[in-house]
Amino acid sequence: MLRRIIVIGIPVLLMVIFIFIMMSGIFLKKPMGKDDHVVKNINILYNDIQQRKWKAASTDRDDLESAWKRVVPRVQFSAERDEMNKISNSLAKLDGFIDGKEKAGALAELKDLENNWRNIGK
Amino acid sequence: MVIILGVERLNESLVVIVRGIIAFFSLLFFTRILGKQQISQLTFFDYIVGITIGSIAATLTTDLTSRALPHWIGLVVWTVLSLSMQLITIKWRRAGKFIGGEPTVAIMNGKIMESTIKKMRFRGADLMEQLREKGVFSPQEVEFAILETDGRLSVLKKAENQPVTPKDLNMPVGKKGVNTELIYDGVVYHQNLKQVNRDRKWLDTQLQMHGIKDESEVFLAVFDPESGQFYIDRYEDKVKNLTDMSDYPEHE
Repeated sequence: MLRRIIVIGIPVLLMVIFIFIMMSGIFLKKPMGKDDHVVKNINILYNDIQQRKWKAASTDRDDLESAWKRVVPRVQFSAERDEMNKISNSLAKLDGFIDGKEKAGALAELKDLENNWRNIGK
Repeated sequence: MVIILGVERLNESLVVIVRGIIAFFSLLFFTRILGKQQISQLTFFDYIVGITIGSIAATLTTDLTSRALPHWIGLVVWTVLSLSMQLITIKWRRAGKFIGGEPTVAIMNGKIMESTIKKMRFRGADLMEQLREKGVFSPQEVEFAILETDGRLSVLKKAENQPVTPKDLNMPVGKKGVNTELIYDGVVYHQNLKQVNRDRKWLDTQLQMHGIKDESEVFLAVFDPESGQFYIDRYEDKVKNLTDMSDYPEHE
């Protein structure tokens, strides 16, 4: 009986762990502390850009970047490399649009970032 | 940690290691489910399935541009399909013949069935080669040669070309059974000892008869309960003038 439990139980347990690791992005991208709330930061930044508050937008973009930096190592085992690269690229472009005070470009880039964020770990 | 596009990430090698572990153990588990067919018994289709499953596992490990889960699901799908094919072929004979193919007669009464071997895309040279591998150098010696589904040729030689057996000579022969390991690497396997209806005392007597004081001196001891033959191999082989087949002898 014990042998049967080991022979069947261990592989099944391993498979469950593997599936959890491969799907972990869905859970691990959710905020776990104070400074890793990516969605909240996206919304704040969206409002800043809409209202052309460029100084606040610059600071809030930095907050969004630091939140993203905290999440990245957690989702790396379940996300695509290109998805993560796209978010980092969008953050860099957002910096340029905010510096140039270009609302349309900044909003477009932020929407792209939001879309990529939604796809992570899906 | 490495910095990629200004963001600190775990080293990709670490991700590959984790994905490699997932692929390795998944593959091990799935191949165990698929059964114990020998490589030589695999049909062409089984062989391709094996390659595909291996290829998916390799991509799962190293292709970081895509998520691991879809590849893993691919592995599961191929395993489940293979398993269902196996079950179908076991359950329904007709389906089994359709999926796995049928053995076909390639030589009958010394005559090559050209149309059959052509249909199987088997060349005359291949046929001769397989015959030679079976120790047959002329199709004339063959009563039946059957091309199996895995491409091997099974040969039944004509009666006059069959080797003589003790039965032909009406010779009495002793029974022969399967050897059971009683000692391996200096350790006595009591369960096997029980299986052959012998006890520890009997084993000790046998060891003493061979001049062995302790089981730790023994590398392998096997017993055939049918014939009563006991074979023992010690760690210390008292062999003089050991034959060295190597091209690079140890002592030149």
